[in-house]
Amino acid sequence: MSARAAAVGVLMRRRSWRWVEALPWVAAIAGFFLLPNYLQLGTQILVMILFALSLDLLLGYTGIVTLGHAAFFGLGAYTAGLLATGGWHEPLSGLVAAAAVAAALGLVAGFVILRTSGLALLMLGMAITLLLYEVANNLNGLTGGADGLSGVEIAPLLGRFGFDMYGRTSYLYALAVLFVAFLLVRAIVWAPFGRSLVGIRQNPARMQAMGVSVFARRLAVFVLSAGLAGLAGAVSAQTSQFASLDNLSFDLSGTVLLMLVLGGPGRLYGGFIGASVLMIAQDGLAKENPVFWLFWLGLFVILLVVFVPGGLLGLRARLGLGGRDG
Amino acid sequence: MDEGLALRCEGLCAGWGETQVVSGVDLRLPAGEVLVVLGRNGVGKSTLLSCIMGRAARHAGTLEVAGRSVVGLAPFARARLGVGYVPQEREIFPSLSVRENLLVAARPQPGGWTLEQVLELFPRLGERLRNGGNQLSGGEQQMLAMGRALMGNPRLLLLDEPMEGLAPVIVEMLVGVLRRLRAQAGLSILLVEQHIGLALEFSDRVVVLDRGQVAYDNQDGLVPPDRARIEALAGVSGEG
Repeated sequence: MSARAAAVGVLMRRRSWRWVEALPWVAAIAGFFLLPNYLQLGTQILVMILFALSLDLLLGYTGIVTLGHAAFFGLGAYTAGLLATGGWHEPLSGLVAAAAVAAALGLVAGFVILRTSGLALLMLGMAITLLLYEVANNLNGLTGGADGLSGVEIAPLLGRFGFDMYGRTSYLYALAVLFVAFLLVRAIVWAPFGRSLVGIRQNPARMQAMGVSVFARRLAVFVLSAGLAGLAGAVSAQTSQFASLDNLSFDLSGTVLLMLVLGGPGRLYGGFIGASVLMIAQDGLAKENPVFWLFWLGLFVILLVVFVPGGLLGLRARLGLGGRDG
Repeated sequence: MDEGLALRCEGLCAGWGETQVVSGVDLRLPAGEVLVVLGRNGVGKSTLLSCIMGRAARHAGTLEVAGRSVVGLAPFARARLGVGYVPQEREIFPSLSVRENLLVAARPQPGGWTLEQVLELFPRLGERLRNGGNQLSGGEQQMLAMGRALMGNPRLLLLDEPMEGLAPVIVEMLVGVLRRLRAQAGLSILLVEQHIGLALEFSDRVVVLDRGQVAYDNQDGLVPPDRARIEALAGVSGEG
């Protein structure tokens, strides 16, 4: 249908790249060369950015508030980990498999929980995470239970680049996966499908009246988001060569939500800011004051949420430095 | 015979939850025609449109679009059958630009409305394409709401008081647009209005609602509408 193709073209052309969008990638590459001792932390940050990006599709764009996103992250981590311990060591196929398994759970879970909204949706998401947590906890022989899944051996990337103890391959691997996933998400949110998600967030009844099946769109984005969360979990397991119950914890669901809200939901880059700020602050402040740093973090988050609802990126827009929300 | 009707309902009772607002309304809108629904505030005009779209609950009665019952169909399925709905509140997406509002759920059809044609109908929107939906005047919002509905290529257009609260110059412009839409082959319009003089310019087919029921029925349009009766039933004091 050429008319539709033309309409898509009009929407897509609108969103050319702005130079500020290069900043996070330049910073990430600079970090690789300038901070060789922090590559492990950097890899963890990149993983959390990818995880937050997947949540942004749900929370920031579609307006689905969930506290159960760790289910998909954890499932991706265990899938990638179990493939490796089971003898399949090639990383890229492991990634794809983990994302597919997480997306499949997203399809089943989404089919049930997206029929609800508000509190019920929140509770069902948490319940699914709890179920998976207990399954992983009880399948001791397979998952290592509370000790976690160790012995995750990953073959060299593309047969050449081994995952060494310095974390160089891990860092670049995580960065590459994040970049590809980001390109995908960016294209999606500016396409008519993504615009319709924003419409659904702002007025689902109106989208319905325009002929859009809100349930089908929400389910589609839920599956996509679950797959990306699984991808993040898989990168985590492959680069740390470890998967644990923490990957399926309620705590992780809350942390990624905090990161996204801190950075600014619905702006693509919220996770970049939120995950970086939170994890660098955690690393630095926790060394100084391992107990009390959370107090300052909590105070900061309260002030931010009350006075700058759009997160740190919202602050930038508010100061008139550009940045329209999506 | 029903094939020739864009909209038909019989004994339609509708409301919100348990509350009934519309009681036993019969409507027959032949394809390509304009039917005007008049009535004072709160008599159930908007609820009637909402029920046709599938938002308000149908309590009883039949409801057919183009000869097909839409009872039990979700709103999006009714829209895909060709129902376009421009609500009184306009419901512009504030975070989407004007262009995105127009294209986000467009359903292009061969020979149907295109972005260019809609912008030709509403030149003002062409100047505002990059504006956010929250950066528009009331008149521009109304134009966008109507243009967006046309991008869905409806066969039955539900318009809920499109002139309400707008400046005279904008009203004049919208009247011109409605005349052009009336002349479009295959498009049927159900127009809810409070302004009797304006409404009667568009059609002899008139229904007046009062307390949820049809108080005056000239929807066959066989005789000229009885203006004195309509004003007695639906008139606002001071209106000329």
